[in-house]
Amino acid sequence: MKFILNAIYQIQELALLTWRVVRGLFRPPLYGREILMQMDVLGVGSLTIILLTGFFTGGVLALNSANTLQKFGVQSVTGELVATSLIRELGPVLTCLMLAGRVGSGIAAELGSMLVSEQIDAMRALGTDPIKKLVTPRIIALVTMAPTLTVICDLVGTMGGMLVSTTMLHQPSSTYLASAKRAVDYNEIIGGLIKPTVFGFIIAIIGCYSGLSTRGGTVGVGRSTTRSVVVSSILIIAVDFLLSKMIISVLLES
Amino acid sequence: MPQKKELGLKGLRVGLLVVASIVILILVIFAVSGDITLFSRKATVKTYMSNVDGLRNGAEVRLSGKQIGSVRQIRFSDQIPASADAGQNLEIIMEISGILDGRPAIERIRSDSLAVLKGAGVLGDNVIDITPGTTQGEAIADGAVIKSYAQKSVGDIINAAQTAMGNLNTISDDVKSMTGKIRSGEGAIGKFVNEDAFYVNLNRTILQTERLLAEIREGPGTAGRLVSDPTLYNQINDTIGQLRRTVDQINEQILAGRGTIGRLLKDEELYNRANSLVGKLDETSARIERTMAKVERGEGNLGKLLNDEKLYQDARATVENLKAISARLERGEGTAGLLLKDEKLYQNLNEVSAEVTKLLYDFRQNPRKYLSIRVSIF
Repeated sequence: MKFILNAIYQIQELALLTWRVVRGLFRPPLYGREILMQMDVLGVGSLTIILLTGFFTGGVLALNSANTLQKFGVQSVTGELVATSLIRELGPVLTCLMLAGRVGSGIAAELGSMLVSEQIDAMRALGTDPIKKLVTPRIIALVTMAPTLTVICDLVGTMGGMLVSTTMLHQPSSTYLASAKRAVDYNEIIGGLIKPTVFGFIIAIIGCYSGLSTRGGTVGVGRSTTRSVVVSSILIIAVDFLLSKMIISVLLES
Repeated sequence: MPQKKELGLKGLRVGLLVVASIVILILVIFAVSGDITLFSRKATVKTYMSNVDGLRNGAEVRLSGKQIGSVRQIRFSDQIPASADAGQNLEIIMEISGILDGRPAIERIRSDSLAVLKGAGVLGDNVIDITPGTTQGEAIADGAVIKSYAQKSVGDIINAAQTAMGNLNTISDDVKSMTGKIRSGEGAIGKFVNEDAFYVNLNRTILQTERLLAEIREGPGTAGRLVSDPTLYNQINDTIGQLRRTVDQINEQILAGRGTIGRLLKDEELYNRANSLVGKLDETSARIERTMAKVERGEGNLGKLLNDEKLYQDARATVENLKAISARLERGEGTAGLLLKDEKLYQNLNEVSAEVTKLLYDFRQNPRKYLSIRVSIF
């Protein structure tokens, strides 16, 4: 019973934090420089791992699926399969899991340390709203950067798949590209961009909440960091399921 | 900022609200995609089959190919069948949406619907496709049993195809031997194909026909003239024209009342004459009638002849007298009687004639005996 009440309490705190962030969006100051800086740190800083993840995911997808498709004699649809998988599912999810590991943990650790070292109390004493100054920029940065990185991940992944198809499976690149083009339509792209937007918000809000709810000194900072990664990863995968269901039934079947 | 609070339901109202809204959101997402049906009834339909061919629980149930539900349960019926081909001992319970596009599903699935076991594709799972009910069937109740029909599986089709292929093989062997014979010139078709006698004959016939046609077209014979010379046509044409004119003239004459037929049709004189003749005939017959009436009344000679008793009596007396005379003649009474009966007169006459004959004979022999009339003046 206590566990359930605690869980509901956490959700309530999370909801209240979200509310304060949303309310803060419409009240000055907005700290534009802070937002830009977070975009640089969280988004551009993650570009390398996203590029590597995307490229190899696309490659391994082509490698595995081509083998199976060959059994049915439809190896030519490898591009379609790789592109569809990446745009619909793997691009958003893998990008955001990577972000959760690299960025979510960083946010939690940073804010947790600030809380433990009472910098946040000092900030509040100086008349600065720590939520507007620390939380909102991170949330805006991730909500915008996650879809951006996902698009890059999709593109690089498709390229990786093409490289594998042409060099290792000896398919002509034109076959692969023509097949991949068939997979791409507006509904797929819109569906593939809704997901990372939601995931980016989840990573940021969980990271911030974990950091700001740190208890127990420097040990607590470690716990918060771990909890941030675990919770945001699980939420990403769970919400991905619900979003896929919704996107398929609303966008792709209509 | 999170602050340590005593956990109680009162302090968690916002948390509960958020949890409730997330749950509702999730339910709505599933309801929109049709995986869970909120606030709607389910209907159940059963059918029996002898073989479900790997149909699974949860397999699609379609109506005219549109998914309307799923198979809830497949189970053997309680009784063990009497023979292997008694069949239909598997009961399939299907769960279908209670409402299909605004109408109860039971209105669409009727007693004449058939549950057909089908493969969803060559490699796909099996599904049950229900044919739509018509007004010829009756409405069914929830949980009713409909009839089933097992469509041929891929295996059955392949088996049938093997038989067909065997037949095709036989046919192709036959065709092969036939074409072989044709090629080697056996039989009528073989000769037709291989020997050029037919061709030569045909060619000759065609050439002759061509020549004949040319002769007809250009030649001086009857057929040629028939084709090329317009004289016959012109004459026939003229004749028909004359005939038409004649008919026109006759028509005109008739219309104008000239000529015999015209007068017959137009002139009233003949009619009048005939009319008067009939009138006279009528008069004559009236007179005859009157005469006959007079005769009946006994007037005039004819009338008396027919009607007067006295004449009859006189005639009768005369006949009786004649009868008496003939009786006396019979008996030979009187002169006439003796003449008839007595032979003496006949004999005397006979003797006389004999004597006369002798006399005449003698007269001829010796005429001088009788003609010596001596005239002596001196």
